[in-house]
Amino acid sequence: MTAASSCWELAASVQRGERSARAIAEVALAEAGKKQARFRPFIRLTPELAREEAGRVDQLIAQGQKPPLAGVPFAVKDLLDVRGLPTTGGSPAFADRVPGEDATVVRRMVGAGAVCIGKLNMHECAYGFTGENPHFGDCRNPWDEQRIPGGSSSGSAVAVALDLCPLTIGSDSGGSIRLPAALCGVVGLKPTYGRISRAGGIPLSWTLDHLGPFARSAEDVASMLQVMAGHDPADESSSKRGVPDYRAELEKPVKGLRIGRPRDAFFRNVDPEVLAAVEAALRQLRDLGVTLVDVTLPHLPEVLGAHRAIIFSEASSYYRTVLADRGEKIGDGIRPNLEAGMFIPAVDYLQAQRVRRVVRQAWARLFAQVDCLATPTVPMTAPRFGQQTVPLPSGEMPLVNACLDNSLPFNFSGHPALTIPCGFSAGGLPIGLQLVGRPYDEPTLLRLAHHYQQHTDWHRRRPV
Amino acid sequence: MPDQPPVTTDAFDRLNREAVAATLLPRDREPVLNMVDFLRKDLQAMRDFPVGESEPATIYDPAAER
Repeated sequence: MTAASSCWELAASVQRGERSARAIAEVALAEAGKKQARFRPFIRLTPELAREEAGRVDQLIAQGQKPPLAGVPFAVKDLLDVRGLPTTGGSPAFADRVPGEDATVVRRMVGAGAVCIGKLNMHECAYGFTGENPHFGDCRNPWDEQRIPGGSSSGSAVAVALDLCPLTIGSDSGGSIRLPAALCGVVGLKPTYGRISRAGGIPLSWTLDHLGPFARSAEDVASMLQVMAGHDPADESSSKRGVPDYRAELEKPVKGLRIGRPRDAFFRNVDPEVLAAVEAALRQLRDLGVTLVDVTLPHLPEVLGAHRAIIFSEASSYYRTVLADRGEKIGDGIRPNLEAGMFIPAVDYLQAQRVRRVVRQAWARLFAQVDCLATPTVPMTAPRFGQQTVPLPSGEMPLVNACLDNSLPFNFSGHPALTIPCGFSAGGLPIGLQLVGRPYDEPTLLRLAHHYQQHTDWHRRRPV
Repeated sequence: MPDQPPVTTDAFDRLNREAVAATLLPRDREPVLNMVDFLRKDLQAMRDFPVGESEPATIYDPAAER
Protein backbone atom coordinates (compact mmCIF):
# COMPACT_ATOMS: atom_id res chain seq x y z
CA MET A 1 0.00 0.00 0.00
CA THR A 2 2.52 2.58 1.08
CA ALA A 3 5.76 0.72 0.43
CA ALA A 4 7.21 3.33 -1.91
CA SER A 5 5.88 6.46 -0.21
CA SER A 6 6.68 8.52 2.80
CA CYS A 7 3.67 9.33 4.92
CA TRP A 8 4.16 12.92 3.81
CA GLU A 9 3.82 11.90 0.15
CA LEU A 10 0.83 9.72 0.95
CA ALA A 11 -0.86 12.63 2.72
CA ALA A 12 0.00 14.92 -0.18
CA SER A 13 -1.72 12.55 -2.61
CA VAL A 14 -4.86 12.72 -0.44
CA GLN A 15 -4.61 16.49 -0.18
CA ARG A 16 -4.44 16.72 -3.99
CA GLY A 17 -7.49 14.51 -4.32
CA GLU A 18 -5.61 11.73 -6.09
CA ARG A 19 -6.56 9.17 -3.47
CA SER A 20 -9.29 9.13 -0.88
CA ALA A 21 -8.64 8.52 2.78
CA ARG A 22 -11.47 6.00 2.74
CA ALA A 23 -9.86 3.95 -0.05
CA ILE A 24 -6.50 3.95 1.73
CA ALA A 25 -8.14 2.86 4.97
CA GLU A 26 -9.94 -0.02 3.26
CA VAL A 27 -6.69 -1.32 1.77
CA ALA A 28 -4.91 -1.02 5.12
CA LEU A 29 -7.70 -2.84 6.96
CA ALA A 30 -7.76 -5.62 4.36
CA GLU A 31 -3.98 -6.11 4.49
CA ALA A 32 -3.97 -6.10 8.28
CA GLY A 33 -6.73 -8.69 8.31
CA LYS A 34 -4.70 -10.98 6.05
CA LYS A 35 -1.61 -10.90 8.27
CA GLN A 36 -3.29 -10.97 11.66
CA ALA A 37 -3.60 -14.72 12.18
CA ARG A 38 0.03 -15.35 11.25
CA PHE A 39 1.84 -12.50 13.04
CA ARG A 40 -0.69 -11.22 15.62
CA PRO A 41 0.29 -7.54 15.42
CA PHE A 42 -3.15 -6.33 16.53
CA ILE A 43 -5.27 -6.87 19.59
CA ARG A 44 -8.16 -5.26 17.76
CA LEU A 45 -8.72 -3.82 14.31
CA THR A 46 -11.02 -0.79 14.33
CA PRO A 47 -12.78 -0.76 10.93
CA GLU A 48 -15.80 1.30 11.98
CA LEU A 49 -13.64 3.95 13.58
CA ALA A 50 -11.26 4.00 10.61
CA ARG A 51 -14.11 4.47 8.14
CA GLU A 52 -15.61 7.25 10.25
CA GLU A 53 -12.29 9.08 10.54
CA ALA A 54 -11.39 8.55 6.88
CA GLY A 55 -14.78 9.87 5.82
CA ARG A 56 -14.23 12.96 7.92
CA VAL A 57 -10.81 13.51 6.32
CA ASP A 58 -12.30 13.20 2.84
CA GLN A 59 -14.91 15.80 3.80
CA LEU A 60 -12.18 18.17 5.00
CA ILE A 61 -10.30 17.73 1.73
CA ALA A 62 -13.48 18.44 -0.21
CA GLN A 63 -13.82 21.66 1.81
CA GLY A 64 -10.31 22.72 0.82
CA GLN A 65 -8.53 21.87 4.06
CA LYS A 66 -5.17 20.09 4.06
CA PRO A 67 -4.44 18.30 7.32
CA PRO A 68 -0.74 17.34 7.40
CA LEU A 69 -1.25 13.59 7.80
CA ALA A 70 -4.41 13.43 5.69
CA GLY A 71 -5.54 9.84 5.29
CA VAL A 72 -2.34 8.25 6.65
CA PRO A 73 -3.21 5.02 8.50
CA PHE A 74 -1.78 4.61 11.97
CA ALA A 75 -2.25 2.25 14.91
CA VAL A 76 -1.62 2.51 18.64
CA LYS A 77 -0.26 0.21 21.29
CA ASP A 78 -3.22 -1.02 23.28
CA LEU A 79 -2.27 0.85 26.42
CA LEU A 80 -3.45 4.13 24.88
CA ASP A 81 -7.09 5.17 25.06
CA VAL A 82 -9.22 5.34 21.96
CA ARG A 83 -12.71 6.52 22.76
CA GLY A 84 -15.35 3.81 22.96
CA LEU A 85 -12.92 0.89 22.73
CA PRO A 86 -11.37 -1.18 25.52
CA THR A 87 -7.81 -0.26 26.48
CA THR A 88 -6.52 -3.67 27.50
CA GLY A 89 -2.87 -2.99 28.27
CA GLY A 90 -2.42 -6.44 26.80
CA SER A 91 -4.15 -7.95 29.83
CA PRO A 92 -7.63 -9.22 30.76
CA ALA A 93 -7.21 -7.18 33.94
CA PHE A 94 -8.20 -4.05 31.98
CA ALA A 95 -11.03 -5.53 29.92
CA ASP A 96 -13.55 -3.15 31.48
CA ARG A 97 -11.54 0.00 30.78
CA VAL A 98 -13.55 1.67 28.01
CA PRO A 99 -12.61 5.37 27.88
CA GLY A 100 -14.85 8.14 26.68
CA GLU A 101 -11.96 10.18 25.28
CA ASP A 102 -8.89 9.61 23.19
CA ALA A 103 -5.40 9.72 24.68
CA THR A 104 -3.77 13.06 23.90
CA VAL A 105 -1.44 11.58 21.25
CA VAL A 106 -4.32 9.78 19.56
CA ARG A 107 -6.36 12.99 19.53
CA ARG A 108 -3.44 14.88 18.01
CA MET A 109 -2.85 12.26 15.29
CA VAL A 110 -6.53 12.18 14.37
CA GLY A 111 -6.62 15.98 14.43
CA ALA A 112 -3.76 15.96 11.90
CA GLY A 113 -5.83 13.78 9.56
CA ALA A 114 -4.33 10.38 10.36
CA VAL A 115 -6.73 7.43 10.46
CA CYS A 116 -6.57 4.87 13.29
CA ILE A 117 -6.97 1.34 11.96
CA GLY A 118 -6.36 -0.62 15.14
CA LYS A 119 -4.95 -1.26 18.58
CA LEU A 120 -1.66 -3.08 18.67
CA ASN A 121 -0.49 -6.17 20.48
CA MET A 122 2.01 -5.81 23.31
CA HIS A 123 3.70 -7.64 26.13
CA GLU A 124 1.18 -7.83 28.96
CA CYS A 125 1.09 -4.62 31.05
CA ALA A 126 4.13 -3.41 29.02
CA TYR A 127 6.11 -5.30 31.66
CA GLY A 128 8.25 -7.52 29.47
CA PHE A 129 10.44 -7.47 26.42
CA THR A 130 9.68 -10.52 24.25
CA GLY A 131 6.29 -9.64 22.77
CA GLU A 132 4.77 -12.90 23.95
CA ASN A 133 1.21 -12.56 25.17
CA PRO A 134 -0.75 -15.50 26.62
CA HIS A 135 -4.08 -13.69 26.31
CA PHE A 136 -4.03 -12.19 22.82
CA GLY A 137 -1.50 -14.44 21.11
CA ASP A 138 2.24 -14.16 20.68
CA CYS A 139 3.30 -11.43 18.28
CA ARG A 140 5.83 -12.88 15.79
CA ASN A 141 8.87 -11.44 14.08
CA PRO A 142 8.15 -10.77 10.38
CA TRP A 143 11.69 -11.79 9.41
CA ASP A 144 11.45 -15.22 11.10
CA GLU A 145 8.25 -16.37 12.75
CA GLN A 146 10.18 -18.61 15.12
CA ARG A 147 11.79 -15.54 16.69
CA ILE A 148 10.49 -12.91 19.05
CA PRO A 149 9.70 -9.45 17.71
CA GLY A 150 10.85 -7.83 20.93
CA GLY A 151 8.64 -5.84 23.26
CA SER A 152 6.84 -4.55 24.92
CA SER A 153 5.67 -2.57 21.85
CA SER A 154 5.77 -5.70 19.70
CA GLY A 155 2.77 -4.97 17.48
CA SER A 156 3.95 -1.40 16.89
CA ALA A 157 7.14 -2.67 15.25
CA VAL A 158 5.59 -5.64 13.45
CA ALA A 159 2.79 -3.60 11.86
CA VAL A 160 5.32 -1.18 10.36
CA ALA A 161 7.71 -3.93 9.25
CA LEU A 162 4.82 -5.69 7.46
CA ASP A 163 3.68 -2.41 5.82
CA LEU A 164 0.26 -2.73 7.44
CA CYS A 165 0.39 0.94 8.33
CA PRO A 166 3.23 3.43 7.92
CA LEU A 167 3.01 4.94 11.42
CA THR A 168 2.48 3.41 14.85
CA ILE A 169 2.76 4.56 18.45
CA GLY A 170 4.46 2.62 21.24
CA SER A 171 5.76 3.16 24.74
CA ASP A 172 9.23 2.66 26.21
CA SER A 173 10.17 2.36 29.90
CA GLY A 174 13.40 0.41 29.44
CA GLY A 175 13.69 -0.19 25.70
CA SER A 176 10.16 -1.13 24.65
CA ILE A 177 10.25 1.02 21.51
CA ARG A 178 13.89 0.58 20.51
CA LEU A 179 14.20 -3.16 21.11
CA PRO A 180 11.30 -4.27 18.88
CA ALA A 181 12.14 -1.62 16.29
CA ALA A 182 15.70 -2.97 16.08
CA LEU A 183 14.70 -6.64 16.00
CA CYS A 184 12.09 -5.97 13.30
CA GLY A 185 14.16 -3.58 11.15
CA VAL A 186 12.27 -0.29 11.51
CA VAL A 187 12.92 3.13 13.04
CA GLY A 188 11.78 3.79 16.61
CA LEU A 189 12.22 6.93 18.68
CA LYS A 190 12.07 7.26 22.45
CA PRO A 191 11.99 11.04 22.77
CA THR A 192 13.18 13.12 25.68
CA TYR A 193 11.23 12.57 28.88
CA GLY A 194 8.55 15.26 28.83
CA ARG A 195 8.51 15.78 25.05
CA ILE A 196 5.29 13.82 24.43
CA SER A 197 2.25 13.78 26.69
CA ARG A 198 1.35 10.43 28.18
CA ALA A 199 -2.17 11.41 29.21
CA GLY A 200 -4.73 8.74 28.41
CA GLY A 201 -2.38 5.80 28.69
CA ILE A 202 -1.97 3.00 31.20
CA PRO A 203 1.28 3.76 33.05
CA LEU A 204 3.98 1.32 34.05
CA SER A 205 6.57 3.58 35.68
CA TRP A 206 5.80 7.30 35.83
CA THR A 207 9.38 8.55 35.81
CA LEU A 208 10.58 6.10 33.14
CA ASP A 209 7.61 5.91 30.73
CA HIS A 210 7.90 7.56 27.32
CA LEU A 211 5.60 7.42 24.28
CA GLY A 212 7.12 7.53 20.83
CA PRO A 213 6.73 6.89 17.10
CA PHE A 214 7.63 3.97 14.83
CA ALA A 215 8.02 4.26 11.04
CA ARG A 216 10.27 3.05 8.24
CA SER A 217 12.16 6.29 7.80
CA ALA A 218 13.53 9.05 9.99
CA GLU A 219 11.58 11.45 7.81
CA ASP A 220 8.28 9.81 8.72
CA VAL A 221 9.26 9.69 12.39
CA ALA A 222 9.93 13.43 12.18
CA SER A 223 6.52 14.03 10.62
CA MET A 224 4.87 12.05 13.37
CA LEU A 225 6.83 13.63 16.20
CA GLN A 226 5.79 17.03 14.86
CA VAL A 227 2.20 16.10 15.57
CA MET A 228 2.73 14.22 18.84
CA ALA A 229 5.12 16.59 20.66
CA GLY A 230 4.23 19.54 22.85
CA HIS A 231 2.87 20.50 26.22
CA ASP A 232 -0.39 18.99 27.46
CA PRO A 233 -2.11 20.36 30.56
CA ALA A 234 -3.40 16.84 31.20
CA ASP A 235 0.18 15.57 31.75
CA GLU A 236 2.11 17.67 34.25
CA SER A 237 5.36 16.02 33.24
CA SER A 238 5.05 17.25 29.65
CA SER A 239 7.41 20.09 28.83
CA LYS A 240 6.31 23.63 27.95
CA ARG A 241 9.37 23.97 25.73
CA GLY A 242 8.56 24.93 22.13
CA VAL A 243 8.37 22.27 19.42
CA PRO A 244 10.90 22.76 16.60
CA ASP A 245 10.19 22.13 12.92
CA TYR A 246 11.56 18.59 12.82
CA ARG A 247 11.16 18.12 9.07
CA ALA A 248 12.97 21.36 8.29
CA GLU A 249 15.84 20.29 10.55
CA LEU A 250 16.36 17.07 8.56
CA GLU A 251 18.05 18.76 5.65
CA LYS A 252 20.65 20.65 7.67
CA PRO A 253 24.20 19.31 7.15
CA VAL A 254 25.71 16.73 9.47
CA LYS A 255 29.29 17.67 8.73
CA GLY A 256 31.11 18.63 11.90
CA LEU A 257 28.82 16.78 14.29
CA ARG A 258 30.65 14.74 16.93
CA ILE A 259 29.47 11.22 17.76
CA GLY A 260 30.74 9.57 20.92
CA ARG A 261 31.41 5.81 20.88
CA PRO A 262 31.18 4.39 24.42
CA ARG A 263 33.39 1.49 23.41
CA ASP A 264 34.07 -0.06 26.79
CA ALA A 265 30.50 -0.73 27.82
CA PHE A 266 28.54 -1.03 24.58
CA PHE A 267 30.97 -2.45 21.98
CA ARG A 268 32.93 -5.02 23.99
CA ASN A 269 30.50 -7.92 24.23
CA VAL A 270 28.55 -7.87 20.96
CA ASP A 271 27.69 -10.53 18.39
CA PRO A 272 30.35 -10.19 15.64
CA GLU A 273 27.80 -9.67 12.86
CA VAL A 274 26.07 -6.93 14.84
CA LEU A 275 29.36 -5.28 15.70
CA ALA A 276 30.47 -5.31 12.05
CA ALA A 277 27.21 -3.71 10.91
CA VAL A 278 27.32 -0.99 13.57
CA GLU A 279 30.97 -0.21 12.83
CA ALA A 280 30.15 -0.01 9.12
CA ALA A 281 27.31 2.41 9.88
CA LEU A 282 29.66 4.60 11.89
CA ARG A 283 32.16 4.62 9.01
CA GLN A 284 29.32 5.67 6.72
CA LEU A 285 28.50 8.56 9.04
CA ARG A 286 32.18 9.48 9.21
CA ASP A 287 32.24 9.58 5.41
CA LEU A 288 29.37 12.09 5.61
CA GLY A 289 31.58 14.39 7.66
CA VAL A 290 30.83 13.30 11.21
CA THR A 291 33.69 13.06 13.70
CA LEU A 292 33.85 9.88 15.79
CA VAL A 293 35.19 10.13 19.34
CA ASP A 294 35.74 7.28 21.81
CA VAL A 295 34.14 8.12 25.16
CA THR A 296 33.27 6.48 28.46
CA LEU A 297 29.74 6.59 29.83
CA PRO A 298 30.24 6.41 33.59
CA HIS A 299 28.20 4.72 36.33
CA LEU A 300 26.42 2.09 34.20
CA PRO A 301 26.38 -0.68 36.87
CA GLU A 302 24.71 1.69 39.31
CA VAL A 303 22.26 2.78 36.61
CA LEU A 304 21.16 -0.79 36.05
CA GLY A 305 20.31 -1.29 39.72
CA ALA A 306 18.69 2.11 40.08
CA HIS A 307 16.49 1.51 37.03
CA ARG A 308 15.38 -1.78 38.59
CA ALA A 309 14.53 -0.09 41.90
CA ILE A 310 12.48 2.59 40.16
CA ILE A 311 10.57 0.49 37.64
CA PHE A 312 9.71 -2.25 40.14
CA SER A 313 8.61 0.24 42.80
CA GLU A 314 6.56 2.46 40.51
CA ALA A 315 4.95 -0.42 38.62
CA SER A 316 3.93 -2.09 41.87
CA SER A 317 2.61 1.21 43.19
CA TYR A 318 0.36 1.65 40.15
CA TYR A 319 -0.73 -1.99 40.10
CA ARG A 320 -1.31 -2.28 43.84
CA THR A 321 -5.08 -1.91 43.58
CA VAL A 322 -5.26 -3.97 40.38
CA LEU A 323 -3.48 -6.83 42.17
CA ALA A 324 -5.82 -6.57 45.11
CA ASP A 325 -9.00 -6.36 43.02
CA ARG A 326 -8.28 -8.74 40.15
CA GLY A 327 -4.69 -9.94 40.35
CA GLU A 328 -5.69 -13.41 39.19
CA LYS A 329 -6.47 -11.94 35.77
CA ILE A 330 -2.84 -10.91 35.25
CA GLY A 331 -0.72 -13.60 33.64
CA ASP A 332 1.58 -15.82 35.71
CA GLY A 333 4.57 -14.37 33.87
CA ILE A 334 3.83 -10.81 35.00
CA ARG A 335 2.09 -10.96 38.37
CA PRO A 336 5.17 -12.16 40.33
CA ASN A 337 7.16 -9.17 39.05
CA LEU A 338 4.44 -6.81 40.22
CA GLU A 339 4.35 -8.56 43.61
CA ALA A 340 8.13 -8.55 43.97
CA GLY A 341 8.21 -4.79 43.58
CA MET A 342 6.11 -4.47 46.74
CA PHE A 343 9.15 -5.57 48.74
CA ILE A 344 11.68 -2.98 47.63
CA PRO A 345 12.46 -0.72 50.62
CA ALA A 346 11.57 2.95 50.26
CA VAL A 347 15.20 3.82 50.99
CA ASP A 348 16.25 1.92 47.86
CA TYR A 349 13.73 3.81 45.72
CA LEU A 350 14.94 7.13 47.11
CA GLN A 351 18.57 6.16 46.67
CA ALA A 352 17.79 5.31 43.04
CA GLN A 353 16.33 8.76 42.47
CA ARG A 354 19.37 10.36 44.12
CA VAL A 355 21.70 8.28 41.94
CA ARG A 356 19.68 9.48 38.99
CA ARG A 357 20.47 13.11 39.66
CA VAL A 358 24.21 12.46 40.11
CA VAL A 359 24.37 10.35 36.96
CA ARG A 360 22.53 12.93 34.89
CA GLN A 361 25.01 15.57 35.97
CA ALA A 362 27.94 13.34 35.01
CA TRP A 363 26.41 12.53 31.63
CA ALA A 364 25.69 16.21 30.98
CA ARG A 365 29.44 16.80 31.21
CA LEU A 366 29.99 14.05 28.62
CA PHE A 367 27.36 15.51 26.29
CA ALA A 368 29.20 18.82 26.42
CA GLN A 369 31.94 17.10 24.40
CA VAL A 370 29.80 15.26 21.82
CA ASP A 371 26.53 15.89 19.99
CA CYS A 372 25.30 12.35 20.48
CA LEU A 373 26.31 8.80 21.36
CA ALA A 374 26.13 5.77 19.07
CA THR A 375 25.77 2.16 20.26
CA PRO A 376 24.35 -1.12 19.05
CA THR A 377 20.66 -0.96 19.99
CA VAL A 378 20.96 -4.56 21.16
CA PRO A 379 24.08 -6.76 20.99
CA MET A 380 22.38 -9.53 18.99
CA THR A 381 19.66 -10.22 16.42
CA ALA A 382 16.20 -11.53 17.32
CA PRO A 383 16.30 -14.54 19.69
CA ARG A 384 14.05 -17.55 19.26
CA PHE A 385 10.89 -17.95 21.34
CA GLY A 386 11.76 -19.63 24.61
CA GLN A 387 15.42 -18.68 24.52
CA GLN A 388 16.59 -17.64 27.99
CA THR A 389 20.18 -16.64 27.26
CA VAL A 390 22.06 -15.14 24.33
CA PRO A 391 25.48 -16.40 23.19
CA LEU A 392 27.89 -13.46 23.14
CA PRO A 393 31.69 -13.36 22.97
CA SER A 394 32.07 -13.38 26.77
CA GLY A 395 29.64 -16.28 27.21
CA GLU A 396 25.91 -16.78 27.67
CA MET A 397 24.15 -13.58 28.73
CA PRO A 398 20.69 -13.63 30.38
CA LEU A 399 18.07 -12.55 27.86
CA VAL A 400 16.85 -9.66 30.01
CA ASN A 401 20.32 -8.11 30.10
CA ALA A 402 20.96 -8.68 26.39
CA CYS A 403 17.65 -7.09 25.45
CA LEU A 404 17.61 -4.07 27.74
CA ASP A 405 21.04 -3.12 29.08
CA ASN A 406 21.85 -0.89 26.07
CA SER A 407 18.55 0.95 26.13
CA LEU A 408 17.38 1.32 29.74
CA PRO A 409 20.13 3.78 30.77
CA PHE A 410 18.43 6.42 28.64
CA ASN A 411 15.04 5.90 30.22
CA PHE A 412 16.79 6.42 33.51
CA SER A 413 18.45 9.62 32.27
CA GLY A 414 15.58 10.83 30.06
CA HIS A 415 17.83 11.45 27.03
CA PRO A 416 16.24 10.97 23.58
CA ALA A 417 17.30 7.76 21.82
CA LEU A 418 16.51 6.50 18.36
CA THR A 419 17.16 3.20 16.58
CA ILE A 420 17.59 2.81 12.84
CA PRO A 421 18.19 -0.32 10.79
CA CYS A 422 21.86 -0.56 9.84
CA GLY A 423 22.28 -4.01 8.34
CA PHE A 424 21.28 -7.66 8.37
CA SER A 425 22.85 -10.84 9.64
CA ALA A 426 23.80 -13.62 7.24
CA GLY A 427 20.57 -15.29 8.38
CA GLY A 428 18.54 -12.30 7.22
CA LEU A 429 17.75 -10.73 10.60
CA PRO A 430 17.78 -6.94 11.09
CA ILE A 431 20.41 -5.06 13.10
CA GLY A 432 19.86 -1.72 14.80
CA LEU A 433 22.05 1.31 15.49
CA GLN A 434 21.09 3.43 18.53
CA LEU A 435 21.74 7.18 18.56
CA VAL A 436 21.36 9.02 21.89
CA GLY A 437 21.11 12.80 22.03
CA ARG A 438 21.11 15.68 24.44
CA PRO A 439 17.81 16.49 26.15
CA TYR A 440 15.32 17.84 23.57
CA ASP A 441 17.81 17.44 20.74
CA GLU A 442 15.68 15.04 18.71
CA PRO A 443 16.45 17.18 15.62
CA THR A 444 20.11 16.09 15.63
CA LEU A 445 19.22 12.41 15.98
CA LEU A 446 16.64 12.60 13.20
CA ARG A 447 19.02 14.56 10.98
CA LEU A 448 21.80 11.99 11.37
CA ALA A 449 19.37 9.14 10.75
CA HIS A 450 17.88 10.88 7.72
CA HIS A 451 21.25 11.54 6.12
CA TYR A 452 22.29 7.95 6.81
CA GLN A 453 19.12 6.67 5.19
CA GLN A 454 19.75 8.83 2.12
CA HIS A 455 22.90 6.77 1.56
CA THR A 456 21.70 3.29 2.57
CA ASP A 457 18.71 1.09 1.80
CA TRP A 458 18.41 -1.05 4.93
CA HIS A 459 15.13 0.66 5.85
CA ARG A 460 13.61 -0.17 2.46
CA ARG A 461 14.05 -3.92 2.76
CA ARG A 462 10.96 -5.97 3.41
CA PRO A 463 10.48 -9.42 4.94
CA VAL A 464 9.63 -12.00 2.28
CA MET B 1 18.91 -2.40 72.57
CA PRO B 2 22.25 -4.20 72.46
CA ASP B 3 20.73 -7.56 71.49
CA GLN B 4 19.18 -6.16 68.31
CA PRO B 5 21.15 -6.37 65.06
CA PRO B 6 21.70 -3.05 63.29
CA VAL B 7 18.93 -2.09 60.90
CA THR B 8 20.48 -2.31 57.45
CA THR B 9 19.17 -2.94 53.98
CA ASP B 10 20.24 -6.56 54.48
CA ALA B 11 17.93 -6.73 57.46
CA PHE B 12 15.15 -5.32 55.33
CA ASP B 13 15.88 -7.95 52.71
CA ARG B 14 15.40 -10.69 55.29
CA LEU B 15 12.20 -9.09 56.52
CA ASN B 16 10.98 -8.76 53.00
CA ARG B 17 11.57 -12.40 52.22
CA GLU B 18 9.49 -13.35 55.22
CA ALA B 19 6.79 -10.91 54.23
CA VAL B 20 6.79 -12.25 50.67
CA ALA B 21 6.42 -15.82 51.78
CA ALA B 22 3.61 -14.95 54.18
CA THR B 23 1.33 -12.96 51.92
CA LEU B 24 1.38 -14.41 48.42
CA LEU B 25 -0.61 -16.99 46.56
CA PRO B 26 1.23 -20.31 46.99
CA ARG B 27 2.01 -20.57 43.27
CA ASP B 28 3.56 -17.09 43.27
CA ARG B 29 5.92 -17.57 46.21
CA GLU B 30 8.82 -19.21 44.42
CA PRO B 31 8.88 -16.86 41.40
CA VAL B 32 8.55 -13.81 43.65
CA LEU B 33 11.34 -14.95 45.95
CA ASN B 34 13.50 -15.62 42.90
CA MET B 35 12.79 -12.13 41.62
CA VAL B 36 13.54 -10.57 45.02
CA ASP B 37 16.90 -12.37 45.00
CA PHE B 38 17.57 -11.19 41.46
CA LEU B 39 16.75 -7.62 42.40
CA ARG B 40 18.87 -7.67 45.52
CA LYS B 41 21.99 -8.44 43.47
CA ASP B 42 21.30 -5.60 41.05
CA LEU B 43 20.42 -3.14 43.80
CA GLN B 44 23.63 -3.62 45.74
CA ALA B 45 25.87 -1.54 43.46
CA MET B 46 23.36 1.28 43.58
CA ARG B 47 23.10 1.15 47.37
CA ASP B 48 26.84 1.69 47.67
CA PHE B 49 26.96 4.57 45.20
CA PRO B 50 28.13 7.82 46.84
CA VAL B 51 25.48 10.43 46.23
CA GLY B 52 26.72 12.96 48.78
CA GLU B 53 24.10 15.48 49.82
CA SER B 54 22.14 15.15 46.57
CA GLU B 55 18.46 15.57 47.28
CA PRO B 56 16.07 12.91 46.10
CA ALA B 57 14.71 13.69 42.64
CA THR B 58 11.31 12.36 43.42
CA ILE B 59 9.74 14.65 40.85
CA TYR B 60 11.83 14.22 37.76
CA ASP B 61 11.99 17.29 35.54
CA PRO B 62 14.66 17.23 32.87
CA ALA B 63 13.47 20.53 31.47
CA ALA B 64 14.45 22.24 34.70
CA GLU B 65 17.93 20.77 34.56
CA ARG B 66 18.95 21.91 31.11
